[in-house]
Amino acid sequence: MSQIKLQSSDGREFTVDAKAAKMSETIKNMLEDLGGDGENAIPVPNVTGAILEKVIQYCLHHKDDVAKPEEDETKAKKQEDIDSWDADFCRVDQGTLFEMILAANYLDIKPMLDLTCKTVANMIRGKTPDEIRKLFNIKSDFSPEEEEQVKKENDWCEEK
Amino acid sequence: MTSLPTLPLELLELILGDPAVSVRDLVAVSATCRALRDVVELGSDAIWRRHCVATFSVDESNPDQDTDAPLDPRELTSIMSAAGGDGTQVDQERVHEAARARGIPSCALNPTLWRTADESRNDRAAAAGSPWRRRYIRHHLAFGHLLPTYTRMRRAWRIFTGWLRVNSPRIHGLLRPGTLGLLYPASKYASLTQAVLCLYRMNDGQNIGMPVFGTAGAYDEVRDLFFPRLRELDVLGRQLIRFMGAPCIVMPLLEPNADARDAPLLDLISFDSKGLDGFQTNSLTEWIEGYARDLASTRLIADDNGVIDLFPTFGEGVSTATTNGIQISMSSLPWPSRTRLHENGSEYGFIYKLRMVGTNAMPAGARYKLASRRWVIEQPDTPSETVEGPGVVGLYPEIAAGSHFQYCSATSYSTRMGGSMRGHFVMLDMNAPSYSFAAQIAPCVMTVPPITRFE
Repeated sequence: MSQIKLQSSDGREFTVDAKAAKMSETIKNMLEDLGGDGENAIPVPNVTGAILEKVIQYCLHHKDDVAKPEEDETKAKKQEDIDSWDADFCRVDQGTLFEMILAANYLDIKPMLDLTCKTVANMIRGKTPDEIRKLFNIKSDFSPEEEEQVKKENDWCEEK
Repeated sequence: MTSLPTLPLELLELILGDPAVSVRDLVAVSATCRALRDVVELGSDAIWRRHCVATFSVDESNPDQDTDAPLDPRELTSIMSAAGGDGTQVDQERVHEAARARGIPSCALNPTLWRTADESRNDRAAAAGSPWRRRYIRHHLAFGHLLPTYTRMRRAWRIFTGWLRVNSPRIHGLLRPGTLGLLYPASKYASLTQAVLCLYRMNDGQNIGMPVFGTAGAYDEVRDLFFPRLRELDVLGRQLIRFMGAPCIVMPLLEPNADARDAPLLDLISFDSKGLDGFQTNSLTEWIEGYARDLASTRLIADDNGVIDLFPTFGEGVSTATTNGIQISMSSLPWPSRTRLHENGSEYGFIYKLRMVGTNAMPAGARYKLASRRWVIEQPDTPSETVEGPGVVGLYPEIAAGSHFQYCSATSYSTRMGGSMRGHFVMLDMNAPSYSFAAQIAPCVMTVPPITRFE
């Protein structure tokens, strides 16, 4: 069985290389449980077609990656650089990026989860609260008193 | 549509836990909206813990032993201001009063003020969000501006306390938590070095009645040199400016400030380390690090009372000679309080320790008794001097294989270059009283180590 079918929440069907699909622990477990014959599509109810397409794109590109030993993984995670294919892959609108994080988490694709989370982390890095609000379109729901309290509470971090 | 604040907690923690996100970033995130504030302040304990470990090397395995950072300075400052103090003078009574008034009665009653105040603060902090975040903040306030000196001092200090835990549990039990060096400005003309601040924030300098380094003589001297009681440091700092006798003791602890140029007697005391002919030593960080290294390598060992013997047993600075199976080794330390600096002739004090050990190379059944001593004392530009006499420090010890004898004594020289001592003991063979021999003492050099730099 070299190809399997996946069906997104909005009913789109994708035929995927089995090795790529098995990068998802969730799909791998489903295949083992179902003992699928490759004919029936595996439902992926939490992921829309548009996002599933991105997931498949990621898995196809990375399916032949050599699994890194645990310690290397930690080391790699420390590096701030993201390789250029991965960076391009994550160059999407924010809504899509967060959906990709949720999908990677649900499908249990650890390297994709790490990549997408790191992309957001890099966006946060070095920004002021106002810049973060603007970037992520966050509305402050603090009352003026809370605002003051938060400021006071964070006072310790300011350069003296 | 999914947005950052609406992501599930576990995913937000993954993002905020990424090494790319600094503590400052975390704080910025917490100031954006309620949901993210709660994630940063209430959740995220694992993230704060990682930052605590990475930045301040806190002991992760032992979260209950959180005595490694002193009281949150804000806490103490508010107690101090309630006490009407201006932060320059510590009147324990007034602080106790204020602590009592502020509803921290245990702080007021316990003689170990800082530790207790710390614990009571911790209780309240535990109810108010991530304990590791609280811990990070406390470390940041106490040590944040002392990095990276703090990192070095902390590493060395842990070797030191670890050694005490194993080799001298009694002393280890006496170690006290840190206090706030900032409340103790050393003088108008100089402030405490970073290393001293670190040290005091890890340990309050100990009670003079509870010796960490030993029980008498040189031990006290060295302990006082590096761990003067905080309250006295202020006095010492003033003495530094006022009297020529003091700079030798406090110099490595103090850093001159801009006002030092106006200090009285500046013509006599130069703050420039090159021109300083005071009693100088290595920087405190280097001293503590060297000390930790010596403990780890067993160059320093526990003495008969179970405290650290400051005289190394081997290596640099230890002279050793063996005669007929008797090994005699000797090492020395500068002795600040026996040092007097005067324009018309200074005197540099030294204390030395001599260890005599009966090794297995002694003939079986042999017993030797020390009958007399002969010293040859040499110093630059001076004819050598010979001192002879019966016994040593009034004793006539006997040595057999496996036994040992040791004693401390002091001497002084007229330059900081010091000098050396060598000689021999005349030993009688107790099995054949007509036979005697000279057990050699190799030259032991006594010199004041140079200061390397202020920190």
